[in-house]
Amino acid sequence: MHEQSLFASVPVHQHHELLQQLAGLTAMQPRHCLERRLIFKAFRKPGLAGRTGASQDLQQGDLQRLNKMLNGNLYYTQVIGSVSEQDFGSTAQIDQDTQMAGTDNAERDGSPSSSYDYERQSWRLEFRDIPEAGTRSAVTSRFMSSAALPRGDVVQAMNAWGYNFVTEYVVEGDMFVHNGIAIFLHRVLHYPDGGDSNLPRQQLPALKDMTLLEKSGSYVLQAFIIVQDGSNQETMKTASQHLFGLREQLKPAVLLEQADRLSLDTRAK
Amino acid sequence: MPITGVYFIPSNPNSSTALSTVTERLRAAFPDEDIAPIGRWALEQKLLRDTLGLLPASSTNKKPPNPRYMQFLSLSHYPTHGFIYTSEPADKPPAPNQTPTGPVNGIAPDHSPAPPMVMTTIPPASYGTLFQHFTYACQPFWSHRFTLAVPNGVVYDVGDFRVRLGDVRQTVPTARVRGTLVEIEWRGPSVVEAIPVAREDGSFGSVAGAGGIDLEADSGIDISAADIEESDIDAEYTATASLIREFWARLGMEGREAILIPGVGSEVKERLRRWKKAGSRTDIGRDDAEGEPDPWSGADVARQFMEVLRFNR
Amino acid sequence: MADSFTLPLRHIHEKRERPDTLPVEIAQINSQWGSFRDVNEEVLRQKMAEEADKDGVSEEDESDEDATDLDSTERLEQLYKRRTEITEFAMKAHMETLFALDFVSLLLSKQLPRQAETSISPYLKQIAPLGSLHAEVVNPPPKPASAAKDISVVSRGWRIQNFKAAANKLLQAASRLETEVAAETRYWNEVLAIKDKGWGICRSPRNGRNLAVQYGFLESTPIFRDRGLAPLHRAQDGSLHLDEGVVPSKASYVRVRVIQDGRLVGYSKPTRSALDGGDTIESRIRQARDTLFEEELFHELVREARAIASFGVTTRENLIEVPGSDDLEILLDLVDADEVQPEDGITRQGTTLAQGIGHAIGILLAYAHRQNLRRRSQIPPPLTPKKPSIPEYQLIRPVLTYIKHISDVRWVQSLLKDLFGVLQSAKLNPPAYTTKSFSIGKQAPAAHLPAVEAFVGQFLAPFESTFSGKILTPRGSFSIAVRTSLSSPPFGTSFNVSFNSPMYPDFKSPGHVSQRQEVEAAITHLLLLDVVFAIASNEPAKPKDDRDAQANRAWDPIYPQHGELLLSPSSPNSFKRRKMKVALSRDELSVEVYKVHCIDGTGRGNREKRDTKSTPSTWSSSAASPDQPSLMEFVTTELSRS
Repeated sequence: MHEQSLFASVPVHQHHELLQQLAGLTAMQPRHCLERRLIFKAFRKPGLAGRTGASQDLQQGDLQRLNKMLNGNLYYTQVIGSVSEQDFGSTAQIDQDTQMAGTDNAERDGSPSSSYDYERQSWRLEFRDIPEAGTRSAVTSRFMSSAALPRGDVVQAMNAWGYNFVTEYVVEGDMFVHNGIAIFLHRVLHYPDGGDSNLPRQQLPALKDMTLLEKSGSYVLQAFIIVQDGSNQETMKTASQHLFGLREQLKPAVLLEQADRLSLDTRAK
Repeated sequence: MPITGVYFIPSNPNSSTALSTVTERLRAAFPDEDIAPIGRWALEQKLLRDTLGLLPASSTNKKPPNPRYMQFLSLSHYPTHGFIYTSEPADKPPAPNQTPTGPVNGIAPDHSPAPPMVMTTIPPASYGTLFQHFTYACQPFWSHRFTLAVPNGVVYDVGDFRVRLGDVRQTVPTARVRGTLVEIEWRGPSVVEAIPVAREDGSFGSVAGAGGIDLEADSGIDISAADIEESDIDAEYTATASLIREFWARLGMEGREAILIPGVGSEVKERLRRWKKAGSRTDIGRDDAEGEPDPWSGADVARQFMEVLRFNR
Repeated sequence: MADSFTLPLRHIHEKRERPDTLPVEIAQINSQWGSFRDVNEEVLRQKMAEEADKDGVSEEDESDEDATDLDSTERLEQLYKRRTEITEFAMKAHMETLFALDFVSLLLSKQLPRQAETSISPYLKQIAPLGSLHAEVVNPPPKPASAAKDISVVSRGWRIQNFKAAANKLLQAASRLETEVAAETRYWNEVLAIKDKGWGICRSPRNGRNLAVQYGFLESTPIFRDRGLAPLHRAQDGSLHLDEGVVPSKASYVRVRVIQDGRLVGYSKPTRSALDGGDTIESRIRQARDTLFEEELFHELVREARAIASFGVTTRENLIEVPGSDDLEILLDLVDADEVQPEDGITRQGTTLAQGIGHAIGILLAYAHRQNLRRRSQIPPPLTPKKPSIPEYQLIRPVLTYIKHISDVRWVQSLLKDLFGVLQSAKLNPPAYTTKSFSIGKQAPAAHLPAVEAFVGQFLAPFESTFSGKILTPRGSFSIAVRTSLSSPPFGTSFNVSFNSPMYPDFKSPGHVSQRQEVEAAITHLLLLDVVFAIASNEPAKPKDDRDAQANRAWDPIYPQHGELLLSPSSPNSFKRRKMKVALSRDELSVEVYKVHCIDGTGRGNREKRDTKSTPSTWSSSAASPDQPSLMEFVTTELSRS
């Protein structure tokens, strides 16, 4: 799959107005989104790349291919889970092993829905390649994949697959859909206690304690469209045409443009 | 999740497979049963290996590390999810006190030199996407070796057993025959079947004694959470394994066996633990049995299939 | 407007300062009209009449001249003459122009010979050499004072006239502007009035200078969505009117007609009478909206009807025929709102049904619109070359499901009523049964859905009704679940009949059946067994002392499934046994007693003979007479008779 997108920066004072403009343009109410985003980095065993030896039963061509593969790119990838506002700031869930039968259950059952259950959190793996270079089109186009993962703890599986957990953050924003284009007006929130944990959080702090990545509070407007088959020139063209159409429509409000390619580099060095 | 055993009978690339022999023996061994196909089944496995392990070891280097595998499996009798079975990383990343999710498995102590494997189940839509992702973005450590498929297997019911037979064909990189798979499933009464599946919200259906729908009706055993211990499950697995072995012995075939392999039964135990935990709660008992299907069903048989199909080349 | 000041635009006629104005004027009048002495009202009136006459006559004369004394030849002659005259004039003018040109050219040739040469005629060039004429400015002699005064007076007159004309123009413009402002004000007031009523006003996308009113539905199919916007034009006087090209001219609606047994028994009326609002702009918009909605509704109905042709729904050009059940047929068509409808044969029930269906399909379309919004608010699926098709809306199917379901439920109700009525007439006093109609199937608690959507959504799910009750047999019970679904297989109604009859463990519940006859047979059979059991377990009310031996005798159900009971002989050495046959149907319960000459009492045909001493007894709910003995009395009587 390919993702084509255009970006714009939206200062905080324009945010409310733009929300209304987008609601009018798309004829829908904004859908508020809160997402946990875990960043994983692919790891390579150090000092082993380029090791060659006597070819026992490998053909020379195979060996070259393997070496090429070994020196291929490694990437960062994100694991995204949708959360709700109620998930933030909930009290730590009482471990039910410690609270055995006989104690009063009433207070625990009083608000079972408000507690965040990491074990039930759904996740999806979202991979984005570095944007394609040298395309004539004035949109950011990049290879992507998106796959649902099992609920609960993903770290064990991700480790086995070759990924290490690096850090995590939260994205808050509003989603619109117009003419097959998803329009996401969002900003990044950091956890108040920094990112020194080596594991994803089991609980979430109160939403108001989250700090802004961009101190001014400005938002990023991303308009994107996903194309099933990136090799199909016809649909790729249709997609960029849709984006250009949106860019024209939004011109009086914001200027959507291509992003700097290297700023979207997902390769792990 | 029924208790199963899987056997693989390898064959030479140019000779015929053992499929017809197994079918004949099945008929001969159980003359009283009506051995007629009751359905079809299919399997696909994609095997990836760590790219580094494929390189020939240099003469100066010490013993190469254990090979690592990633296996993708899809089974037509578990259509709600696919399975990924991956070797644990040999040198773990600096993750502090990574507590293993399950306790040490008591069914079959892990004696194999290979690192333990991690089982993951994923929605069907993610099956192809994730495979593509690993072959695209993880080339330095995952390399697709081959794809195996049982395109049209046959299902038989033999007494309390259900038998799935099928020829394994390699489709990638070159098409060739690999052998014959036999899955033997115990369909008699079992404690394992009696443990209810946790629902979406983590609650359970009304358990025995609550007067609701009998979730245990299928197995015919009336139990409650307190009656079962993990050791009972181990015993159940061991006992059923001997039944399956007995069944297999009646066929008199030689094959690679996978029954009590590491990890088998861990999902069942996890389910039991959740059930026991939930049993102390009071807010259970909304009796809508249909929810999302258990994402872990079939993990045992998937393990067994992938165990016998983990070829080096 | 106290501060406003007016600027006089017209020339102000200054008062003549000459003191002798009046005498001069009197002298003038005297010389013109004669002495004032002769002037009186009569004379003046005459004068006025004369003047009026003169004007009228002169005008008339001219018109008369044209009209009367012209016949065709004369007219033609005159025409030629006039044409010649015109030509002559033109020639003359042409000649004179040429002379003038030659003259000016010759004059100019002194100064600009090259330029003048081009316009000079060759004839003049021959006879007069270039530059032979010269002109010079000479000082005219000074004009006499009188002439100068005349000129100044004339130019002053001219100026005043021009001022007057300019002032008139300005005042005209002002008044035009005034009416224009009034018209604009009216226009905007009306626009605001519409906006205040809640209609969306926006700039017309086709013509940016126009306003348009949005009355359509954003979630409709594109062809209808785009028609939901009509430009608002301004009439000369500022009143609003809708663009006639876009707005449907006539109000129409989807008419629902209910046909029972081939006769029209009900039809739906237009849901909103748009016509009674008068011809205001708002009512026009409302009518446009309603008609658009109804047109879309019909469009979607036809689309769905084609998709569900397998249910027997047929579509014609402008008519959808939906076969309901029990000789009930629904017709849907799009007709004018003011179409006259026949009134005979219309029943209240039929009208209610038709109106209900009319409302239901409208609500379901609105629901489908909401679902469309929901769908398009989701993150779109990846773009592929082929377009995803939108499934047909569920409009007819829920209605049809309802009709089918209610018919089946009523049938079960009447069946149970009949059967229990029969049992009651035999004074068996069966326990009451319970009905749970339209218990919507298990619904996932959809917390995120708005209440109204969750509510309507229920009607798209299969309908289920349950009848359950106990029977005479202790711990025995039955239940009939009626489930109707047309949106997902299995289509149609299925009955799930289950029994719990501890006395007859072999008697299995029939489970899922689809035919009414099967249900009837199963239930009747169950109740027959029940009656047989009741007879068998019947204890004589008071054991009679003189027949102690018989006190323990009882009817023995030998073939309960056939409703047969046997009474063992009173004396052990008698082969004669008495057999009772019970038959139960919807209409009646009948009991007959036979004599059997067979050792085990199972004999049939010749071996059994109707007991002449006992008369067969029949109970039916319709012909129940209070003095008829109850079944149990009958049984006891028979018991004692043997």
